[in-house]
Amino acid sequence: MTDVALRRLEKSFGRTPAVRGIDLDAPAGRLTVLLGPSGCGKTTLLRLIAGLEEADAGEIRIGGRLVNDLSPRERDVAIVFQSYALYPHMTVFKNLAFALKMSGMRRAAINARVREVAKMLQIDDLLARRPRQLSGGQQQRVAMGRAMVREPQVYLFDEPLSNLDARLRAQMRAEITRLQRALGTTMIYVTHDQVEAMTLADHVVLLDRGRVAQAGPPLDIYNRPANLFVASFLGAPPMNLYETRILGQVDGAVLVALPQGALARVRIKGRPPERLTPVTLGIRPENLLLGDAAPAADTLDADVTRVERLGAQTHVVLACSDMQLIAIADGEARIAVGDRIRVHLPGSRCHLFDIAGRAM
Amino acid sequence: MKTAVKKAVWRIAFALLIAAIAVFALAPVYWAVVTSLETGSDLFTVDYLPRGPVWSNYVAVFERQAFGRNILNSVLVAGGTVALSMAVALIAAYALSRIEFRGRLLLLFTVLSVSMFPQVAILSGLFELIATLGLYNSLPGLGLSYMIFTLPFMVWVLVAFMRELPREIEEAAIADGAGPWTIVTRIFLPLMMPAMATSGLLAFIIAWNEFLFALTFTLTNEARTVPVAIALITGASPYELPWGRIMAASVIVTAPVVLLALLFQRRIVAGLTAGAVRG
Ligand SMILES: Nc1ncnc2c1ncn2[C@@H]1O[C@H](COP(=O)(O)OP(=O)(O)O)[C@@H](O)[C@H]1O
Ligand SMILES: [Mg+2]
Repeated sequence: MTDVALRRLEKSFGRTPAVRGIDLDAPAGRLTVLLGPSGCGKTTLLRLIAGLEEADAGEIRIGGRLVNDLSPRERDVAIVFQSYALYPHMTVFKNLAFALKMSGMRRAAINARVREVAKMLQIDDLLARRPRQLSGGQQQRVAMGRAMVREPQVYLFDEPLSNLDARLRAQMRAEITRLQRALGTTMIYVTHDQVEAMTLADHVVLLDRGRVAQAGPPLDIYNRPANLFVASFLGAPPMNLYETRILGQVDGAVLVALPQGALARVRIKGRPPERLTPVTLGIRPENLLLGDAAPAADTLDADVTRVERLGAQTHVVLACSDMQLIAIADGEARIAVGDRIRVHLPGSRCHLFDIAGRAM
Repeated sequence: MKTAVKKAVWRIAFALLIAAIAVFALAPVYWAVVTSLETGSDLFTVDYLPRGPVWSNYVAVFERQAFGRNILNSVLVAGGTVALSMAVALIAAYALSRIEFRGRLLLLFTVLSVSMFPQVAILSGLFELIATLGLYNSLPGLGLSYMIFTLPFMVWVLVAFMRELPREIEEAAIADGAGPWTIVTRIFLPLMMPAMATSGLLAFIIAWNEFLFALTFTLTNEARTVPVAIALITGASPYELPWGRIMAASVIVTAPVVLLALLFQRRIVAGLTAGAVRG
C-alpha cells in the first residue's frame, strides 16, 4: 500500500503560476479526488505526480520515497488522460500490451495479463479492434486497462469521464468504485464535477487557484466548509450567502442580523467577535424552512420571484428585503411566482464567515 | 426542367475543362511514347498512332550504351537519398517539434534557408567539398548533394505533421516506459506514414530527375545517372540526333515515377490532407 504526499509543491509556466505551495496527502489504498474549477491546477498537479512535469519547488513522495528526480516509469504510477491518448495505430490488444512489452515481459505472460485485464473491464471481445472503431465508453475502458495491466502502485485519473454522456458517466462511476474496492490500490482522481467527487471519493481535496482550499471526507467538507470558496463551490443550487453584521451573543451563540429585524442564532467555534463585526452568513437551500414548517419566531416574509420545477424537487427563488434566497421544496409544492411565503433560517444550519472568508 | 438543363450544361462544361487539362498534361508523354515506337523518317512525320510499332529503339538504348548501368545508378542514388533523408528528417523532426531547447526556431529557419540558394550559386563550393571528401565521380557524392534539397522540406513537412500529433500520446508512451528511440520508431513512425510517403516520393522524384549536379559531379559513365545519360545519347554522326532512342529512354525513366505515384496514391492523398487527420 502506497500513499502519496506533496509538500509545498510549486509549479509555474513562465509567469503563470499553476500550483502555488500545495500540501496534500492521498491516503494509501483510498480514492482521493482533486476537485476544483477549470484552470485551478488539477491537471498540472497530476502531471507533477506522474513525472510529466518538473516541480519548481517542493517534495513529491510516493510511499515515503522522494520521487522528484525519478522518471515517470520509475515512479510506478499509471495515468489515464482526459483524452485517453490511446495509440491510434495499435489494436486494443497492442495498446494494453505496450507497457508490458517495454518492461521486457515474456510473450505468454503478456498475453495472459492482457486477457485478464480485458476480461475485468469487459473489453475482451474488442481486443482486435483499433481505437477509432470503439465508442467513447469503450475507449475509456481501454485507457483504464492500459493503466491496469502494469499493476502500478498509484493510479492517476484526469477527468476520465468528462467525454462521456450522463448515463454512461453514472455507470462508469459505479464501475470505478467497484474496481477501486477490488484492486485496493491508491487512486488520485481529478474532476471539476462535484457529483463525481461526492460519490467517488474517500477523501476530497478542493483546489482554488493553485492552492488547497480544504481537504477531508466529502460530507465533512460539504457540511463544514472551511471558507467561502468551498461553501459556494459545493452544492447545487449553491449555498445562500448574505453579508450582514453580528449583533451580540446569547448562551454561547452569536446573534446575526437578518432583514425585517429578525435574528439568526449561530454557534461558532472560536471566541465570539465584537458587536457589529461584518460577517457573511451562509445557509444551504435544503436547510431553509418554508411556510408551515417555519416556527413562529424569527421568521421572514419573502416574495417568490421564480419557481423552477425539476420533477423531484422545486427550486424556489425568494426575495426578502435585500436578501435573495434559493430554497428547495417538494416537486409538487403549491408555490407560484408572486406568492408571499414565510421563511426561517435555522441557526444550527447556518455558517458564518469572517471578512477574509474563513469559517468562524 | 430548366434547372435540369442548366445542370447538364454545367456538367458538360466541366467535363470539357477536365479533358482539356488532361490533354495538355498528357500530350507530351503520349508524343514521347509514339515517337519511341518509330524509326527512320517516320520520326519526322506527325502521327497520332505509331505506324506498326517497332521496339528497336528500346533495344538500342541498352545495346548502344550502358543504359542499364545508368538506371541502376539512378535507383541507388534516388533510393539512398530517400532512405537517408527519411531517417535523418524523422529524428530531426522529433527533436525540433518535441524537445525544448535554445535556438530551436533559429535552427528550424536555418534548415529552411539551406534550400533557398539557387543550384548554380552553390555549385562551385559544393564541387570543392565533394572533391575534398573524395566523393567526386561517385554515387555517394551525388546522394550527399541531393540531400541539400530533400532534407529541408522533409524536415519541415515532418515537423509540421508531428506538431499535429497529440502530445498526450507521446506522454502515454513515456509513462508506459518507452524511451525516445522507441517513441520515434514505434509511435511516431507508424502515425506519420502518410507524411513519410508523400515527402519520400517528392524526394525520390527530385533525386531521380536532378541534372545539374549529376552532370557536374560525375566524369565517367560508371557514375552517371539517367538524366545525364539521356542528354549524352549521341547518334552515329554529330549531325544526327537519335530522337527515337532518346524518347525510348525517356519513357523508360518516367515509368517508375508513375508507378510509385500510383502505388502510394492513397497515402499521398492522406498526406496532403494531413492535419485534418486526428489520432
Ligand atoms: N503547458 C502549459 N503552459 C502554460 N500554461 C499552462 C500549461 N499547462 C497549464 N497551464 C496553466 O496553468 C493553470 C492550471 O492549468 P491546469 O492544471 O490545466 O488546470 P485544470 O486541469 O485544473 O483545469 C492554467 O492557468 C493554465 O492556463
Ligand atoms: Mg485539466
